[in-house]
Amino acid sequence: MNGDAPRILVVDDELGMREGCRKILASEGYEVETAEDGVAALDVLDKHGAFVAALVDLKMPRMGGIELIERIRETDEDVVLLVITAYAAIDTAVEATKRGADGYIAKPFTPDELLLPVRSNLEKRALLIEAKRLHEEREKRLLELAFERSKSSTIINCMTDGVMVVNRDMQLVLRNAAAARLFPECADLPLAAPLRSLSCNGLKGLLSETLRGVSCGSIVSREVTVGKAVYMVNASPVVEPNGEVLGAVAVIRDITALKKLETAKSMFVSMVAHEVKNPLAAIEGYLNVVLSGVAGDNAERDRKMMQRALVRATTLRSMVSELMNLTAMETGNFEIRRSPLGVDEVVAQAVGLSKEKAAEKGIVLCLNTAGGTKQVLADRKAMLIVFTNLIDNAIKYTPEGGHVGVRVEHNGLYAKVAVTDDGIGMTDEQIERAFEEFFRAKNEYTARVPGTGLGLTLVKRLVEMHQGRVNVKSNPGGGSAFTVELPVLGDARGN
Amino acid sequence: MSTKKRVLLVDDDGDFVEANKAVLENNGYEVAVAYDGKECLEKVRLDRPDVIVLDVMMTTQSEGFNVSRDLRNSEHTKSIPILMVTSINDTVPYKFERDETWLPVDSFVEKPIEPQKLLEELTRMVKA
Repeated sequence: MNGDAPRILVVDDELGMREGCRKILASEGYEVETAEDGVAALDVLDKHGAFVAALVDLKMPRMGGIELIERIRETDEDVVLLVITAYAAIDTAVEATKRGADGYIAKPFTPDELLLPVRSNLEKRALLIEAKRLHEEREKRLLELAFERSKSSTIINCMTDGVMVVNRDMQLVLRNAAAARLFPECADLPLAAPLRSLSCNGLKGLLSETLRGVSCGSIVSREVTVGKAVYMVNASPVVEPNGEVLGAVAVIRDITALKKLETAKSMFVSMVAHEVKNPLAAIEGYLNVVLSGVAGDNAERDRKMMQRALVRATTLRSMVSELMNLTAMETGNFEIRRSPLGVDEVVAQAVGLSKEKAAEKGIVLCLNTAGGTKQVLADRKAMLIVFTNLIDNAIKYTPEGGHVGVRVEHNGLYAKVAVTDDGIGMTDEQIERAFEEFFRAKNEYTARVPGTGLGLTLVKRLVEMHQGRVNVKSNPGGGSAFTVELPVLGDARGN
Repeated sequence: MSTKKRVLLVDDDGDFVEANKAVLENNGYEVAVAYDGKECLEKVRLDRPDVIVLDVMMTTQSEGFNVSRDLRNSEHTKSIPILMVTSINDTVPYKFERDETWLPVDSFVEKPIEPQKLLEELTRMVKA
């Protein structure tokens, strides 16, 4: 308890007894409260509580000693309860101890005969309380330990990476749920099963290497192929502080998707390299011819060649620009700033930019906004790229004297811009691949048509960034129709 | 009867065709052109050239190879010498070995071809 003097309650109907006990106990440093019968005693306990001991006279009116003892024991199992009894009533005293008393004191008694039992019982009580406390502590600790162990276990089993641990003898001593998923064979292996029963040699080799090469304490990393999947395995030794090797632990990650991405990236880089080499080879070719003079002197022809070389050079530069835009979009660095735009107005601007190209080929380029127009929330520059790309494509793939029509309309929810031409059209296969990076139609007509193969890719990305969509209808020799749909900007009332 | 040698230039890149056509025409060759494998085989059938200059990659990755194999498999065309043209990194090793089954061509050059080299190669091939 706390530093206060321990409190003892004396319950006896005789005043002389009460005061006598008080004097004796007080001289030992105890604090004493008294009560003249059971009822009063319970009252005092109620009001003051926290008594380390109570001396109870057996024979009392209103409530007898035994009954009082039982009542006290109901609520307090630690308090020392000593019965005071006349010598002749020893049996009753013994009865009292059966009912919850800790002992008895026979009267008459000397001060020592009172104090000794009180002291020894209080000591016993203190020991019992301490033992109880230690027991509770231990229970709590064990619970914590179990919780910790199960917490670690839960964590390991929730990991997305596989974990496998082997001991020095290459027996499997631990594997988590993820490891069982990645290596289904080990799911059913009992603990301490030899690892050699696993069929994956890469994993086994890695672990035995780790066990052997402990002196450098380094991690062994390797890619391991299991069927169609590729795993990255990192293994390190399990070492005691004294340097003793207990085993090895391997962490396994499925990198199949990552490898696919790597391959796709490598292929893309190859494609880009190819698309860069071709125009450069053409330019170099023309320069070689003119500079070497092997083709003789023909100023007009040479001029034409230089012009063609220039076209290839500028196309290449556009391609690099477009590629940078596409990459920016891919990495989230492409900024679009949207503002309300009138579709007819942006389209008209795009048409204006392409007028000269059309005129050069004698192509009739016309704009039709009779279908009505709406506003969209879009980035002006992006929209210009989209529409000029589509219009320039139409002009490119239409022979001289042909027609290119641009039509703006809406259906309430979407603003639609359709670019149609009566040019060479596309096959089904070409339609399917039209929006692919670097895809260009290859035929006699297109042999001299400059293009990057990225225009439509860019168009699709930009349109989709604006929550719109683009599609194409076409057939060989029958021209093409590209349609862009963009969500209309509603007014404040949600119309 | 023209004593000029006939060359068939096959490449999907119009500029490659134009540049080399100028060189060849200026040096005594008669030049026909084709922009893909199908057109090439057509033109060979209609008017047999004395030598063919053929690009590896046209519409597909190895179209040139397929065309040369077709040519070598036909009695009518198997003796026409073929000069294969490629950008390096195409699906061929840099140092080529003449192999009837896999690489049925007579010579290999990297593009762009230096005009002088082109003339030398063709002269050699047409003579043989």
